[in-house]
Amino acid sequence: MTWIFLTPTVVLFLLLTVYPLFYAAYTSFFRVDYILDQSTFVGIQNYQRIIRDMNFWNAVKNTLIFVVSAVLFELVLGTAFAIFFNKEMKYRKLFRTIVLIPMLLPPITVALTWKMMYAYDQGVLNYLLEVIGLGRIEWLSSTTWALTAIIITDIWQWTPFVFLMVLASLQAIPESLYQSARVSGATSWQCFRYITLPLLKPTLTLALLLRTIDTFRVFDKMYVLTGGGPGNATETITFYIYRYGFRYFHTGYAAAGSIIMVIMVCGVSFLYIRRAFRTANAK
Amino acid sequence: MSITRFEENRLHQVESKWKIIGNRGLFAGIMAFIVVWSLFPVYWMANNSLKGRLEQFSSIPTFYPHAPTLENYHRLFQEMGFLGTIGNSAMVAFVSSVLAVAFGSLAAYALSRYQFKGKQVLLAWILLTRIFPPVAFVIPLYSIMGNVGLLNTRIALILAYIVFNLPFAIWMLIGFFSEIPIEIEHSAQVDGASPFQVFRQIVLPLVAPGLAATAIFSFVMSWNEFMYAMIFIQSPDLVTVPVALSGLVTEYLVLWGPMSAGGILSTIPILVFVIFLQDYLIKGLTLGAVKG
Amino acid sequence: MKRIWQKKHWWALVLVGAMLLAACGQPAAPAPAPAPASPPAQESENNDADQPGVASIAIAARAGAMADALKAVAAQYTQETGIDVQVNDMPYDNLKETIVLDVRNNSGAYDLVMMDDPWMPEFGQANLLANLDDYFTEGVDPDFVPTTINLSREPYGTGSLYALPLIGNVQMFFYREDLIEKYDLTPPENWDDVLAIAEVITREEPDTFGYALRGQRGNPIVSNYMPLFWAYGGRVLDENGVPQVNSEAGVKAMETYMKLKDLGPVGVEAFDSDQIATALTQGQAAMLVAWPSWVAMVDNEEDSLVAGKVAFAAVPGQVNESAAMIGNWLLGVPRTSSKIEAAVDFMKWVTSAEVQKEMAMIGGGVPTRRSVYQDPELIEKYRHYPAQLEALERSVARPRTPYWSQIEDVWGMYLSQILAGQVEIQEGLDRANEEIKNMLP
Repeated sequence: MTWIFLTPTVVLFLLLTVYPLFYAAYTSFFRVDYILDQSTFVGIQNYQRIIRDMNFWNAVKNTLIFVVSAVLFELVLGTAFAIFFNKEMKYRKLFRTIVLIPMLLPPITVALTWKMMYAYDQGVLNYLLEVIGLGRIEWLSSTTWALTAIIITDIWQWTPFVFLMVLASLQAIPESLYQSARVSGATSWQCFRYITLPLLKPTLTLALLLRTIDTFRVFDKMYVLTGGGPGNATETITFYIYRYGFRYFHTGYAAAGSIIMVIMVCGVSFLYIRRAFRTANAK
Repeated sequence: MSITRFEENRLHQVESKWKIIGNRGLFAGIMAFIVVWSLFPVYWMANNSLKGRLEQFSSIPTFYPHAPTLENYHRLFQEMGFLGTIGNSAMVAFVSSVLAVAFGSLAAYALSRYQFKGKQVLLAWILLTRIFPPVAFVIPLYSIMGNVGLLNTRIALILAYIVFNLPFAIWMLIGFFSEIPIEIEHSAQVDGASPFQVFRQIVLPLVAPGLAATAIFSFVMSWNEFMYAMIFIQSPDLVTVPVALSGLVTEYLVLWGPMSAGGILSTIPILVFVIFLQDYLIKGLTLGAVKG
Repeated sequence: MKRIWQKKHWWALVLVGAMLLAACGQPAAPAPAPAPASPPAQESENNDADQPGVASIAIAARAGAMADALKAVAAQYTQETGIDVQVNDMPYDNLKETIVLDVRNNSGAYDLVMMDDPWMPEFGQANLLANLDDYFTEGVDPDFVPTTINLSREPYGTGSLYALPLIGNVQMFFYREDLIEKYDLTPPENWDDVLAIAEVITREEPDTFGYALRGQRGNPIVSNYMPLFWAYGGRVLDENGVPQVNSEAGVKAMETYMKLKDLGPVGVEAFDSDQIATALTQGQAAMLVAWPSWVAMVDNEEDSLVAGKVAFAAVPGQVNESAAMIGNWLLGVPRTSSKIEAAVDFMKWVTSAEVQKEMAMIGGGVPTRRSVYQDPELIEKYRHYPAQLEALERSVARPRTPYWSQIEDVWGMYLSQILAGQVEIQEGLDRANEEIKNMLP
């Protein structure tokens, strides 16, 4: 019977993902100039060159800073918002929709609107900072702030993702658990700590995994807000791969970069991948 | 339900009046923070969409348009045929997210319920396609689509989006399925229901919030996807919203007004979709009753 | 619960059905349209003789005012000939990706493509474009400014024709005439003058800075820095093709560039064309290097606080004479197009003097023909045309190498690092030179 359930997925994956993944793995051993249509087998040279490239390690550093801080804040804020809006309240539906809005906007417009708000002279954020008596900040043009600015934008846009996942999963927690806990005198914090959190654990793990994977691939925000600059302050791994793949059309080198990145993601998220697999195999 | 309220009321009476007022203040404060945090950039976008270029960049930002203009919206509709663009996006996003959720729920159910050969490989493969940077897919996928003559069709986009939403949908739904106690299904099977009937009539309604959340995510991803939409589609009548908006980043200028207007407009259809699915999110599982 | 599910389910089905119907009603792929079925076939009967079977051609274009102008005149072409012209406009990077993917996969989706002129050597060497010599057996119309035709040939200036120049951009120096007069200064001849004027204006004029540079990493900073680099006598590649971006000229040009940064608004490290245009039109910056297509906006009172106050001149020199950078958009035919003849016909038509004039009137065209620059009606509308033609005639092209995109990207990254203070000038340029050297075969 199983095959009926799996057929559509497996067929689509066989048709559309097997070739691309093997293509990437295969070309990573060639020096390719896609424009000139030339390729030469070079063994693991691409990998060696990438690992020796300072710019690549700088991109790795930026990516890790980005992933860790963005994902952490998104998880904390998203969970907090979800718990807050899980209560009975007036206009609950309206407020939930409001929290979701940042995720719904087109990324290019989001990035450009933030770019406008970050502008040093005419930007509204600096204006507000000045009004409350703080100094202006060189949001996008200083090497110290540019990455932070992009992280803030990402947190703003993707907190709703975690919010929605956690909210959907909070619905699954039976109210009766809380009732009995309260009757036996548990405080709200205890309810959260000993009922909500353990039951949310699988969802939080999955949210952590998915957000880690997606922030690792972040590209559009750097592309629009800073172009990877100033200098190389906001260059991430995907941006690095993009430069080689589509600016220079050295697709073999870019493929090797992609493979290295996949290995890194698996390394970083090894623990939660294992946990996620365990959930999948539970029954 | 009535018992719950009764209990809660009693608890409330025990709390002191001051604490309630303090809580209310805190509550309102948090609420205000969340609303401002979520909406300010959107408000700013809407604000800009009603301004001319000069005012958008005035040295003291204006918090509401002093010289409001509908020129930006006019331009989108008259010169860019934005309505048709929104229709294209709606079509592609709707079909691909419905199919992704349908296929995904089937596969996730099988993965969470049955043991079979190659299961680990399949799970890992699904995850792997999500981890790969999309740039790595562009060239091979383009050549596949070209070989089967699907370039410049909506089908190419729909297929690509299903494939990129599936890993997410499957992993997410596995989580939801595994929360359902398997006893419910066993009892149905004893009553003589086929596995598909069990899935369709018992399991699916139980994971409605999960399905709704997954559908929202898939829809949003497809609605806002840029790279494949840019590369697979050539004819202007088939272009999707993000691609049309990218055309407003011109060589010399970003056309901030129409860009903001387009951002606001393109959000409306997704908002409608989300509101439509909110009921599922709010209804919640009926699991509690079963377990209790 | 169950009832709700079913109600919604039903709705979803209706919606899917409606959408599928809509999809069927509107065939997704513009099929190669058999001649009798295509609607314009009747009215264009007289054209059928020279255009058998061609119902439409597709153009990949750079989004912006020029694509808008192209769309406007294309509609006219359709009316005249019955051939439908589809213009698909896209951002800069995507345009190049699209062209390469299209030709490399033999998809033949585009019949004409717009190309930034530095791509030409790369595309020529990779054989992506159709050779047009056979379609111009009598040579190219001498009315075209020679520097623009040189770009369209591969190898540069002497080889076969692979394109025609569509948009004749050349960098110009924009400055606030009113401020120069107010402080009793003379327009700058060289970059030292620019520095001196910028200092005066930054000091004296409230809320206005002397100079705005375009410092975003990559193409922006390179195209903005190169006029200085050339003026100080720099050369990207020497006679033997060895990179020389860390030469003494390069260092001196960068020193001036850093001084200009300090005489500009805060945050120029992140400025692209949009931000410097805003700085000029909001009266925040007094001088900058930019492309002439902005002029329409500078003089438009709805967009600009400085309408009528800005003058245009050749980019200043220093050790060398002024060297204006040419940056044309060329129109070429991908080798894989199945409608090369129809494409060439359109190309000839769209670069003709009448159509160039029309595109210029609409506001998106920058002519590539002398006669159009000398047209009195246009000069009245665009007061900078004589200066622009002169700049174009004397313009210099970026290095003709198939590796330009890579050189520009690497150079731009290090220039941006220097500008942002991540490295010292000499060290940054040395590293850039080293990396460019490794990149070349």
